[in-house]
Formats: sequence, C-alpha cells, structure tokens
Amino acid sequence: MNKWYKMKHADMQKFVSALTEKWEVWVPYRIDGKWEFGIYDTGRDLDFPESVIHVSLKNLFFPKRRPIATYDENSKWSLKPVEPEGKPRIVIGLHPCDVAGIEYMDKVFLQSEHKDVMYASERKRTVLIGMLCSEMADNCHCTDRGLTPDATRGMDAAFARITDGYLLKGLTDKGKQVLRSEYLKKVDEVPDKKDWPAGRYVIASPEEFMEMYDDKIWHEMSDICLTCGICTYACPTCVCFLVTDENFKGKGERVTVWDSCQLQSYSRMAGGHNTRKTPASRVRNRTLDKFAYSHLRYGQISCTGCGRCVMVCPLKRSFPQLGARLTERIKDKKKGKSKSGARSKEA
Amino acid sequence: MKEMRKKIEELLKNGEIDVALGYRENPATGEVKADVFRKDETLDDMVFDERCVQNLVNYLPTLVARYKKVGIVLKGCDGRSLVTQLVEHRINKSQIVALGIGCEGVRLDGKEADKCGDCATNMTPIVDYEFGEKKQKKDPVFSKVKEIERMSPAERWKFFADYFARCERCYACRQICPSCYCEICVADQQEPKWIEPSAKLSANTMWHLIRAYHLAGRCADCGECERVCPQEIPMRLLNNALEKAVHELFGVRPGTVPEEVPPLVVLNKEDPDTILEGKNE
Repeated sequence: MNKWYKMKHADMQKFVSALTEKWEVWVPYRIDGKWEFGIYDTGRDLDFPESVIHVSLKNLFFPKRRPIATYDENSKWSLKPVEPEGKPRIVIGLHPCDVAGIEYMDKVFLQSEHKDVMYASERKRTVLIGMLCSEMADNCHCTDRGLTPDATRGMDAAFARITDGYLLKGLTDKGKQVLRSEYLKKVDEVPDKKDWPAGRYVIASPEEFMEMYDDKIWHEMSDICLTCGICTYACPTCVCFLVTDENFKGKGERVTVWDSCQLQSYSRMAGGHNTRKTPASRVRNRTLDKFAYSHLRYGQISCTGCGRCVMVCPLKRSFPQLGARLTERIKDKKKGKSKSGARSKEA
Repeated sequence: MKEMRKKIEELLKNGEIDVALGYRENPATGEVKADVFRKDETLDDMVFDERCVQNLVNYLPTLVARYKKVGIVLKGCDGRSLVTQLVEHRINKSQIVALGIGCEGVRLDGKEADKCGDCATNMTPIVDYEFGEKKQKKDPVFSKVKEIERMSPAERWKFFADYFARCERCYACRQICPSCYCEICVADQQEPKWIEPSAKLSANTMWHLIRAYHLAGRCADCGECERVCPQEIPMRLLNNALEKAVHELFGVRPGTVPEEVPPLVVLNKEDPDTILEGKNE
C-alpha cells in the first residue's frame, strides 16, 4: 500500500493541464528570479524549485485583503455577510515548511475558540500536493524546528523529483483521487533518503525564552531593526489582521487586512495610549510570539524554519540568527557568566 | 580610513563620544552593515568603501536618546540628511560628532548606485573631522525624471500604477527615512482615515503620493526608501521630481547648506509664483 508511482516530466505537464478542467490549479512560477505561486495556464512550462518558494502560501488561505461583509445606502447600511465561494483547487509543489505554516494557521483559525468560516472554506476547497525538497537553501533551517525537508506530514499527496521525472504518492483519499491518472506507472523506486544537516539556528525552550522578557538584549536587538512590517507579511505563520470599512459612493465593504505587530499603529489604543511604543518592545513581541507565546497558546512554536524573513528583510538581518543569539544569552545567563563580552557581533 | 578608525578609537577612549555609528564588515560573508561601535571593542572590522550604501542618520534619534554624545560616519549624501534633521530641530548638534569621509561613490547590485549620478557633494556639509578628498560637483541633471516627464500622462500613470499595485504596505520606506518621523503617521490615522490600510492600487497610490509630497523640499535624496523596498518600487523618482521642482523654483538642494531655512517653510517676497501666474500649465 501507499506505493510510489512514476511519471515522466513531459507527462507531468499533460497531467497538470488535464487537472485544470475541474480544478483551479496553483503551481510555482519564477518571476524575476523569485518563486511565487500562481494559477496555472495550460501550456506554460512547469518547473519546481529544489527548495523554499520565496512567497509563502499564506495569501491563498488568509488573503492580504478579504471582504467579509458588504453594505450600501439602499439597504440602510445593514451588513450583508460575504459568502465564501470558489471552485475546488489544487496547490502543487508546496514544501514541508509550507504545510507546517498551514497547520499552524489551522490551529489559530479552526481549532481555537472562534472558527473563521472564510478560512475554513478556503481550506476545505484546497488539495495540497506537496513536493519533497531536494536541497536546503541558504536560509533554510527547518531541521532545527522539528521538520525535515522531505517530510510528507499534512499533505494530501506528495512527489519528489528524480533524474527522469517524478515519483508520486497519494496520502489521503482526496490526494489519491487526484492522482488517478494514466500517466502513472507502478515502480519499485522510492525517493532517496538524505541526511539533512541541522544545528544552524538551535533555539532554547519556550519557557526559557519567557524568562528573557525583561532582559536588556531587546534593546540591542532592535538598535538596527527598522520595525517595518515586511517580515510579518512574508512569514507563513504571522496571522494578525485588522478590520476596517472601505467606503465608495454610497456603498462599502468591511474587509480584513494584514496587520503587523512591528508597526507602531498596531498597538495604539483608543485615547492614544500605545503599549508597544518602542522598537524594542515590538521586536520582543515578534520574537517571543514565534518562539514562546505560540507554544503556550497552541502547543507549537510558530517558526517553521523557512527563512523567508531573512530573504525579505530590507537590512538583510537574520531573524533566525537573532533567535540563536538570544539562546546563547540564555545559556550564558544560566552559567552565570558576566554580561559583558556576551554581546556577539550584530546579526 | 585608517586615520578615521584611529580618530574614532581615540574619541571613544577619552570619552568624547559614548558610541560611534559606522559600518561593520562581517569577515565571513563580506557583507557590510550599519552597526554601533562601543568603547570596549577593537575597530578592526569597521570599514568605509563602496559597499557602505546605508544612511546612518536614521539611527541617530534613538541613539541620542540613550547616549550623551554620538559619533557618526558620514558620506556626502548622509551629511545632507543630517543637515535636514538639524534644520528641523530633531537632533541637537551638541550631541553629535560628525566624521565626514570623502565618498568615492557607492555600489548597489553590482553597479554604481543611481543616486551617485546626481551627487550634490561627496563630503558632508556639516563636519567635525574631515577625512579623504573633497570634490567639486556639477549641477544635477535629473535624467530619469526627465525621461518620465517625456511620457504622456497615460503612459506615466501606467508606469507608476504597475509599481504601486505591487506595494505591500510594509512601510519600510517610511521606517528608514530620516525625514519621516511624525508621531502618528498620516497612514496610521484612524479618524479621519486618510489612507485605507489595505494593499490595493487606490490606497497604495495615495500612500506613495502623500509620502512623496510630505518630503518636498526636505528629501536629501539618500535613496534609502528605494533601496529597502522589498517590491522594488522606484520611489526615488517621485522624490526626485519634487527635488527638481524645488531646485528649479528656488535654486535649492535640501541639506546642502546648513544655515539655509528650507524654502517651503518660509514665505519670501521674491519667491516665484508660477501657479498664480498660470505658467505651470
């Protein structure tokens, strides 16, 4: 059971084209050297990156801007909820870290007290066909976050690239149904098992991170940070949003829009008080949210080790490296070392 | 560079400055980043060369709040930036030691940075210790702005709309700009809500135009907004268009003359009045 099937590269193209008849198919595209998911146009060349896709899948399930209700003058401004809709879709070529991101979003939007109906519908209509990474990119560190680049957990079906095509395998009923195709040949091959390197950005436990709450290090860490919001937008597990009304000539929409804890306006309250006015407090919030708060709330730290925050940072700062640096500080503190000299060079 | 490193070491040692803001090279990767240098460290990895693109002035307000005296390494354009901050009384000169270095141009993505083409001065206009060679500069050309001006309005709109549509509203441009320091940014105001927070073309256009207009006659063209933009939106074009207008109308380039009051904050009888005379058509 659950054997791998083989498909030639040219057949993959035909297979995916055939899928577009019933499904909305999303595949990775390379645009200006960056990989990003887009809807597949039949006939376009298919290609898959060896490793992480630059733009995360978050936008597919939790869009940047999402209308949740409409209203207009004629109906006396009463709110009409927007019904979730959309044709069934398949995402082909996502990686284990993408799946981990989706699993975390499930915890936030589906398994917590308030269920997000829009997210639930986006999730329900999507089949995930994941691809096993064949290498780790410069900023990849999923092996330090409890994942492996060739894990298939959470996928409906998985595939791996081999020299003369692909090896595919259905994992859930949904996935197996999609993979019913004449192009698949039964083979004895299995994808190569690799020894993945680990230990680049090892981090301390959530409890240890919590003990750093009042440490001076946050000021050092935020000295150079711009506190722009781009790392939170690129992050597959940053799920904060704000709700706002957008009006235009007698009608309007209530929308949810991505928000970021790195922006000063995020924590400003009625009356003008701001609980996180300093960059240090905002950097602390994001760091602890990734490594500690998420674990306390959902039982899982929310860094998947994809490294996208490093790719997008305007100052090319390495957030994972900051996490590792913080861990060093925690260790030093435990050993009772003096604080001076513990400051490593700026990440 | 050696002389400057020695000077900074000396200043740190005898307590004339508490910290120095400069460029640090990571020997392992060869990357150069802004960093704070302190008394108890060697300055061996402090560098100044064509990789030092970043404007350090933006970090000054945070540092002067924490330290009494801050030394800062300045290129010509960063010096202009510092002048704009001093003129607007955001920073007090008594807290700053300006270490100017004759800039030979900086490189970005493997070629000379665009901003260097219209460089106004390679040495900071305000300086306490000067290193390297000072060069005479010509008047600006604004070649890229002129290119845009030759387009028809429809072409121009398409050009910018394509870029604006990509904006994610991360506000990196605002965060890195030394001149963007409002307590509550216009984009963050709730009541009235001037700019919608969602990343869509109409709201993004509003954001970019308002951002540019707020910098008219103040922007010292350090080019940081464009450099940090994750979506590579050519924001300097907007700033340059306004810089060109200010240069043509008032003969001023912001930040080049420390004593000068910015033209848009004073009313002068001799000011040109092209709008009322209808010459602007």
